[in-house]
Amino acid sequence: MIPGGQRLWCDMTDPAAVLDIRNLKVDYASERGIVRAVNDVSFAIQPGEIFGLAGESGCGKSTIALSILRLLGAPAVIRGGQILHEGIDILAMNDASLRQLRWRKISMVFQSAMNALNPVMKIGDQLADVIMRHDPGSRSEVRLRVRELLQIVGIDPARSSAYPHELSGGMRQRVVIALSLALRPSLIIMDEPTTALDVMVQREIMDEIRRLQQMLGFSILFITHDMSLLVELADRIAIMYAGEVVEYAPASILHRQPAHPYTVGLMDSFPSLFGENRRLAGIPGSPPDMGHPPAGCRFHDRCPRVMPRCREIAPEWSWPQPDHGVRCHVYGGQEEQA
Amino acid sequence: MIAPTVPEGTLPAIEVQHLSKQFRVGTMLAARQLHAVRDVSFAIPRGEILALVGESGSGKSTTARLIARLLKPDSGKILLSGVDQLQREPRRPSDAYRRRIQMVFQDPFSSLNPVHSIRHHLERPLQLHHPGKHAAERVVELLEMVGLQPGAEIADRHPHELSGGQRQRVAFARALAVEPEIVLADEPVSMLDVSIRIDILNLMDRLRREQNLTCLYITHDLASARYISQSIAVMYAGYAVEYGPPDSLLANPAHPYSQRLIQAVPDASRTRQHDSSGVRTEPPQLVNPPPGCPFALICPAVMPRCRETMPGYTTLGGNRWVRCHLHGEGTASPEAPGGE
Repeated sequence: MIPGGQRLWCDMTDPAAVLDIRNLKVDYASERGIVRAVNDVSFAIQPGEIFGLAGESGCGKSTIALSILRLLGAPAVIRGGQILHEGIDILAMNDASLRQLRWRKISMVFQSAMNALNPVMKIGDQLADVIMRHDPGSRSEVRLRVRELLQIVGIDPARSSAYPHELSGGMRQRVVIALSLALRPSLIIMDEPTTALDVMVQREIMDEIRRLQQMLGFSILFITHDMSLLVELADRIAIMYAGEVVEYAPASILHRQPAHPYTVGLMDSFPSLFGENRRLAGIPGSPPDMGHPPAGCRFHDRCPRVMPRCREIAPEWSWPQPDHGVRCHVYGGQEEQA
Repeated sequence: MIAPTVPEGTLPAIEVQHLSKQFRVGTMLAARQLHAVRDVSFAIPRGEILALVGESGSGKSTTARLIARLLKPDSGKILLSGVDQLQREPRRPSDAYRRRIQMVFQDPFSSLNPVHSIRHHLERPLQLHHPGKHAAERVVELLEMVGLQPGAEIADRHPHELSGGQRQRVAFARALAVEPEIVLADEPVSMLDVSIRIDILNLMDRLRREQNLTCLYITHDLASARYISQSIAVMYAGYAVEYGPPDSLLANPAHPYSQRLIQAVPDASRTRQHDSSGVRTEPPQLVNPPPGCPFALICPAVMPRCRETMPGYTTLGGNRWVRCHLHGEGTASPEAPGGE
């Protein structure tokens, strides 16, 4: 039985969703055995929505991003689940359909703009390359589109003959964003797009992303470990811990009333610039070894509210509010509430 | 004294005056000067943490390296308890200087030697600087001081057996082994997982309280600077442009650069802003810079004289100063009467 609230988050029959991930499972084969990097993750992204995926390094958030575009290579193996785009399972697509999907329907902005751009190619040519490959047109049409794209992201089109090293970090990230917009996708995956940038450049890029999103109406899957950033930017947020989503909520609820003890700890790990300068506790311990995840709830050995059953039974979803889901024994569980 | 942080009659643990450093860049025939640190002055009272805040390229790490004397300053003074160390030991610092000032680096994965045990990392400085003492006991004591328990067991591990946060604790234990007066911590938490960062910040705070440690905390993160420091100095393009107690400086920044920096920080407690200012960030020119204030290039309040002369230090009251023509002539100088 899917409770009412969960519909909003992951409903297979919801054709409106831009992306619908259902029960995704991804393993990495290592010499020490199988590591389950993503365990039974589900969420859906609505048109025009900025969806945040947050968690610490190693929690599986980037693996999800790569799974969506089928960019995962060995030793990663997708073990189960579906990733639906416009009702079609990306995981079942053949190469030709994948080519139609990448860039055109779903594009991606990576963390390091320096590595995402070809250092020996002028930025205008890199943009033209993407357009030509997927959407061939006459030379002048392509040139016009390149000018348009640079203008959209706030770069003087005269700079299209610049090489990446001639641009500042913020400008390079703008070029990468222009690349992701080149074929007018309906969803852009952004994996820590501002992490390598200074705070003022980060602000500039965030403003730019928000402006473009409002202007063009695409959806964003925004992946980061920075909760302050995400709460400011995203509409809804999913929190991941050790390969699993532990909480879903609209950004405002997550900020005011985080429910899962991990989310509470995560929010309590960021000092504030203003207001009371209170002592923060953070989260004791370290994230678990994914080769041997703890039994029961994976967070139990770091949890300040741990109970005996947390050590044995993995919690089910509870829904404190229709659009707020949490996977924690503290909040009961669907069966017990019923 | 520029920074009248110190109660009269006591000397700051460390004070730097007019510290400057240039690097030669470019080819031999077209050599140019990169102005990394320019005329930087501040003081840290004993038992306090000063956060040196700035973006990459602002000169904050170079300032720490100058103080640690890993680099030789072109000019300026480094005073420990009031004595200029550059004058006393002009060529290279003595072991005694290195004992007084220790450094903790950003990357706990590269700052520890993978083939040596934790014990080895801590015994080395003990043998070098305090020969004859009971090193074995001291190692355990140090590890437990930084919250690594049981110390005797941790001591026999190797770096790869520890998490990032534990390694950074070892780095602090190693710095503390020689009982320094001052620890320079260069972005000590920026490579750590989010949930671990607060632990290390809390550790620094505890060491300050319990060991009366004086600390220079170098960071790009204003919120963490506010969290643990007693004063903040904001750096831009090699200059320290503003100084003051964290709450007062953050609530009421005087320098236009500080204002923009604070506005740029994502803060969940602020409402979602939709007003993109449209102001673009241009990195300042550090190589052969033009005269005047480096922020004049993009400053919203720029005046003609900003392009001609770099403003001096203007004291603002409330233990603050700023270097900006908006706030007067900037007549205060390190030699001017203040706290000394």
